[in-house]
Amino acid sequence: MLLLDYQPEIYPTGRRTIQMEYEKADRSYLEFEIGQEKIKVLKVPKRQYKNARQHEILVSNYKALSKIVNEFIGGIDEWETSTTLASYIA
Amino acid sequence: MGDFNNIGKLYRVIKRSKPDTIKRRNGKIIGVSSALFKDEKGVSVDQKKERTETETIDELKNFFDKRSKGIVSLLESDVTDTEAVLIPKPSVYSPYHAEIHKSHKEILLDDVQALQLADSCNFVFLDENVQWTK
Repeated sequence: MLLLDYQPEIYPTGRRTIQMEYEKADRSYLEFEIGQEKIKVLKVPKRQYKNARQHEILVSNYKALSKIVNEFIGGIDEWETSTTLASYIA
Repeated sequence: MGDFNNIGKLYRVIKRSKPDTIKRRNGKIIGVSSALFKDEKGVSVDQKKERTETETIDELKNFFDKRSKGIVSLLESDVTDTEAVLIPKPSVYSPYHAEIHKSHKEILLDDVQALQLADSCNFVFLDENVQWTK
């Protein structure tokens, strides 16, 4: 958490994970679901569910979260062209 | 014209936890997190069926007692809109109990389904004074 420039909302799930959420004014949504070994990443641009993108990264690559958050907050919407996630995909 | 009071309505209890799954912004409650719909045992809901909303809420509050912090409602059509399925599972505690599953073959909802369902919820009961206990 201390590594993140922007602090998330944090919620517990019923499947032994912790969820961190970010939401922008245009309702774009970023979620990290943190388990013991993997972090699931969900991004939904402007709440357009059909355009949702999901990936997983290893918990050991937690430093990637900060870049993903900064890109999300900074408005880089081209998920597919983001090199940050590609370099950290499990 | 159909009876709109009997449009399939579902109720999901928000249990006390710290933190809970209620989304707040600037001190105002704005909804629930999709975390509320992530349960490894299947997402439990109560179907309203022939009951009034007040009866449904009161029965849930009585059953969960101090463990309940809030109750949200959503529609059965919200479930089918996400391509999830509603599985009636009456229990000794409630003939109205059901579970929301990802599909007829898989229990765990996917993350987009959970988010859509959370976005569909409306609060019908909330008690911010319910204390979290260990």
